[in-house]
Amino acid sequence: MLGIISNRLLSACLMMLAISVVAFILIQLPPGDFVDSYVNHKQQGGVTMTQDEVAQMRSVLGLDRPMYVQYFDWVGRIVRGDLGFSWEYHRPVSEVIGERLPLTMMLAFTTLVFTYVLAIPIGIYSAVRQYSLADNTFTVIGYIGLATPNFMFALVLLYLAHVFFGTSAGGLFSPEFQDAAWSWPRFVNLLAHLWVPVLVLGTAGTAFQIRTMRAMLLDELNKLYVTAARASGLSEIRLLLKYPVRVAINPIISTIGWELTNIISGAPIVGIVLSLPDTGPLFVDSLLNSDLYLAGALILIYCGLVIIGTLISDLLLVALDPRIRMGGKSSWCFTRHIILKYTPQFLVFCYRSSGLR
Amino acid sequence: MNQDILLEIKNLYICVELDGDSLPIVEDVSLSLRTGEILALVGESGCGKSVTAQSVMQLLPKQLKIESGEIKMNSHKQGKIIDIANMNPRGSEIRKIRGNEIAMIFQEPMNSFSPLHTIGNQLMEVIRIHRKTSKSEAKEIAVEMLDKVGIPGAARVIDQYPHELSGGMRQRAMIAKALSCNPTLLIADEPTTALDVTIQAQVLTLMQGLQSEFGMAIIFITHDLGVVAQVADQVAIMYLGNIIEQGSAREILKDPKHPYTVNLIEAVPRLGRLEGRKALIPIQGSVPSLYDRPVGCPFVTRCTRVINNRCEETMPRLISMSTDHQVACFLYNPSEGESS
Repeated sequence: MLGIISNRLLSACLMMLAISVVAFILIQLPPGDFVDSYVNHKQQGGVTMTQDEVAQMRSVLGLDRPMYVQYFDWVGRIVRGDLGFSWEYHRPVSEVIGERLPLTMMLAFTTLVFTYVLAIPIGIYSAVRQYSLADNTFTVIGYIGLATPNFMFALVLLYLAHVFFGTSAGGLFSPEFQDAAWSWPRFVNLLAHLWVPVLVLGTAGTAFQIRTMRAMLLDELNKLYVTAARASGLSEIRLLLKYPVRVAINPIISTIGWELTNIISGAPIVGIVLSLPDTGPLFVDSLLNSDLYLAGALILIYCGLVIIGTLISDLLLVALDPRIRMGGKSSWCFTRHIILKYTPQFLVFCYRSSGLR
Repeated sequence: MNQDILLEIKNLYICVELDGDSLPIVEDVSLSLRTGEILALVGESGCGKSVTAQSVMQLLPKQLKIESGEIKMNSHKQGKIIDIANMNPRGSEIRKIRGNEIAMIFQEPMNSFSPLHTIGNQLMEVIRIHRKTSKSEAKEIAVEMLDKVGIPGAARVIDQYPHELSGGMRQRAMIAKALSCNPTLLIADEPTTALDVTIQAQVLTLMQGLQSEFGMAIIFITHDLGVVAQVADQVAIMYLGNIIEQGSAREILKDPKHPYTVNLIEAVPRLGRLEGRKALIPIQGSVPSLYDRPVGCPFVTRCTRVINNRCEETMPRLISMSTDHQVACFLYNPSEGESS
């Protein structure tokens, strides 16, 4: 048990490390850096910068250093809790993100809960009453939900809200609460607006999870252990919930991390269409402007959320399935192997990253 | 219904719904079983033996339905005669019978326990449904039962998961679960088929021992005539949903009458008698599909002793050869079904 947990935690850390490299490279890949886009911007405003000024700006921002130096500098700071400075906003990244991140996390979390709370019971019902009217209805709705792109769905909702309610479905707050401090009425106001993006973000996932739950349960319902349990006199509902549902739900739980990936990667586009004050629009802007540290921090946070989601589903699985739990011994061996193999390299890496800044 | 008769099946028809067609897979089956008796239901795969047994507990798969017939049981615990064929398969009446008066063990011990619950959890569940016991009492009974079926270290095994036990041990645990409420009838659906030979013998011996200890009747479904010879008092041979021969096991194995039974016994390999013996004689052809069921005797397509104009046209009825031996074949009944 302990072995599995430490194993998963360790691989989560290694994964973060790998992601930081990929993220850093990805941000640098598009031609031009922040200075280029800044110069461009100035030029459109009629101001021309000299070569010297440009070079000086590069050196102030540290963009003239080799890429690996910049990378280690960045990671070294993050390890010490400093996310860097946003050039675009002229404020520390942590401050820029700080106001918006709770909304993103709340949106992701609510969508996740919405997805599973809806999908699991409907999936169970659809499997038990296979090919009934309700099952077929859910199937049709499900396929429509799966096939509709999020941004399209968001636009349709915006239109409907405008035509039928005369209000805007965009944003997360009414105008009077836009910049107000956190309070109970503001929170209620948030909940009243939250259902639109949750619906947009969650529908495809819910539809998918309903199909998964239904298919898994249909598989399990025909297994011998179900008949065996029925032969011992259990009532149908107790039988259903105790045995086949319990077995069928494992694959659903293992998709939590994966579902979170979908939600988070879908969020920025929906955020822009619905003009939400979360990190989505911020992220797109930072990429367009090559705002290095802001974009990097957001990528790391998004990936971190996904990894945490995966970690949670892994740990839930360990708790739910004795067959995985019992495999703990071999998995501890694997962990030890990883630790012995990578610790020296990791130490060297830490030393260099702090020394090179 | 006679007092020492435990279970009586009369003219049972079970049909399967296939694309709107209703095809019979068990036809006109009548059986009776006395208290404490072991009845072997013998036949090839798909002959309806498992389905017949499942119907006794109303455990038929969704597509199958009891079309007509009676399944009467002398319920010792309720002190009256009950008709299982009329019970709702999801109702509470049948649930009082399942696991309590009739228990079942299955062919594959690998899959007959839930992989996510401990053996103890699954045993205690049955005990607590049917016997009013506290959790700790149920646990005591469970340990005692596991001990009785010869599982070493029962107190430890009770907290283990099915995947930690071998196939033989799992089948023993299944038997313990089945017997934990003292059923008067145990249905064993090929309980030894999935086990290897030495374990098979152990499990059979165990079941015989438990039968004499608990005194329950057993319906033993098998296609292994060796097993029949070892355990059964009575035997019923099924072919394509019909009982074609039934009676005392001793008599039928020694003096089989129906050509199918004769062929079945000839097809059993025997150790130690290889010299001077012909090669095994297989039964020609294969079981016809449900759609091609012959009009007359179900075995007519593979029989070597067909009587022209009779076997193809009419289904022979069971007739008595002796007090405890019936066969459904025109060879022994020259007058019946004469074509006019």
